[in-house]
Amino acid sequence: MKNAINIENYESFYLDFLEGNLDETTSVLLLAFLDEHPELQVDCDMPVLDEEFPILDRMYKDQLKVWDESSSISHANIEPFLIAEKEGVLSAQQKQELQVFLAANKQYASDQQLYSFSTLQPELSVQYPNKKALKRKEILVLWPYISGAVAACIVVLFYLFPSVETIHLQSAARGMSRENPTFQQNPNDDNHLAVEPLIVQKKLKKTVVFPREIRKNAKVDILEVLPANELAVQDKLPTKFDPVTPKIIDPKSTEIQPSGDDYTLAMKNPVAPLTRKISEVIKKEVDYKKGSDAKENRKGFYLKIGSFEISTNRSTQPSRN
Amino acid sequence: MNVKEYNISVDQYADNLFRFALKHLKNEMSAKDVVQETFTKVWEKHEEISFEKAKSYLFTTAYHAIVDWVKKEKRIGDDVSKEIMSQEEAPFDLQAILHEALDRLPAIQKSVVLLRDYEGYSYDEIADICKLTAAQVKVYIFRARQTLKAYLKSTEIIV
Repeated sequence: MKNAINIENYESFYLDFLEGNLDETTSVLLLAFLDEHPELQVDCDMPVLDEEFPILDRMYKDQLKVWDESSSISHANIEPFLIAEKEGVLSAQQKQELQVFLAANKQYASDQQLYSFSTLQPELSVQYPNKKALKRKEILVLWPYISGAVAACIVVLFYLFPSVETIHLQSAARGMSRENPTFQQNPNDDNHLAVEPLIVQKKLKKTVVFPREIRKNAKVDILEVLPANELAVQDKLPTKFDPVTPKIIDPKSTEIQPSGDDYTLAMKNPVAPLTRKISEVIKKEVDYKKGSDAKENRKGFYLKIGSFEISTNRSTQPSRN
Repeated sequence: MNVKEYNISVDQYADNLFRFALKHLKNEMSAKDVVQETFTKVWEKHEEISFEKAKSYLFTTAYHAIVDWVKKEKRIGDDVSKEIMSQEEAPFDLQAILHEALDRLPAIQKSVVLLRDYEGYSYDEIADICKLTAAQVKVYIFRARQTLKAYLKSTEIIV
């Protein structure tokens, strides 16, 4: 062992000696080695760390603890139970146990009272000064209403300002009526049968009946009646007077005049969404069609607004007059 | 949440948010900024937020804004709030004492106690707002209550 201590490892032996970890024999050997080597200056007053450090107070340590809700009430955990009672998180059984404990330990009554007062109340006088600046404005979408109003105006314009063709027809109709009294209907005739009125008389405010329909005992002035072979034609209202023999239709007949005409079928509504919209706005049936037939050299339009109908069918060839 | 519901939220919660922010920041201008910033952020996402969750969303946003503001002020070393505190008069009633005690709480305990007492949130709701667990919220509230009670006891205001 004497040879074990040498100049290479004496320091580790010395530290063990200072800490009291060396046995008596090794200690004697170490001290003998140090005596033999005075050049090795060993400092006997080595600094030692201070063992005193601050201790946490009880309240601080209590705050670090986690309350065991399932534990029974005792002096060690009365505070968490008092807080839980104030928070309203105790079960009915726990509340009862707490009341029993407090009744037996009245020194905790003041703590219970202090906890009951520890609820903060908001200061309602403190208010945000300019709430209006925080708000956002609603953006009202107006285009549906505007488009409906425009559609209604168009409808009114059509109603108030009839087309040029209608005016010509009315003039022609008045002429026909004066020149062809045989066409006038005799309302006292028992054998009178209904004839389809085909022209609008604006002054009398009679309505045009679509050629397909048959009205019984319709009391209107017969201004013009289309020949039978043209009855199927939707709207043939010539600008020039052509006298024809009136066709008398049996009102008992429910036969609907066939339309089956290629020209009629070629009419289409180019603004179906608009007419639907107008119909929704004014709550009446609205229909508009236009069409043309290159073979017949004809074109025209048809407009219906509620019970009002108007149509025109004119030739694309130049007028003879 | 549509525009109408958003504006209703402004009427219902602007004051509450302002009081909540003011209690933390002790500065009226900063508290107003927090409220304005909160509503701006909520408006940006108003289409994703339901009206029923508006209050919770508002307080969550305000809480985070307050935390950011406090961190920023700590870096700058703003002494304005301290000056305001020093100018306060000595409290003479229970609520004033409690609010004085509130100022002594750590920020997180102050937040959870305010959300609990001012707004009546449950532990779970406070946990959602403050990004904590319900257990942590309970612990913070318990600690805050102990501090408030100790402060009340020290002032001997209650016999």
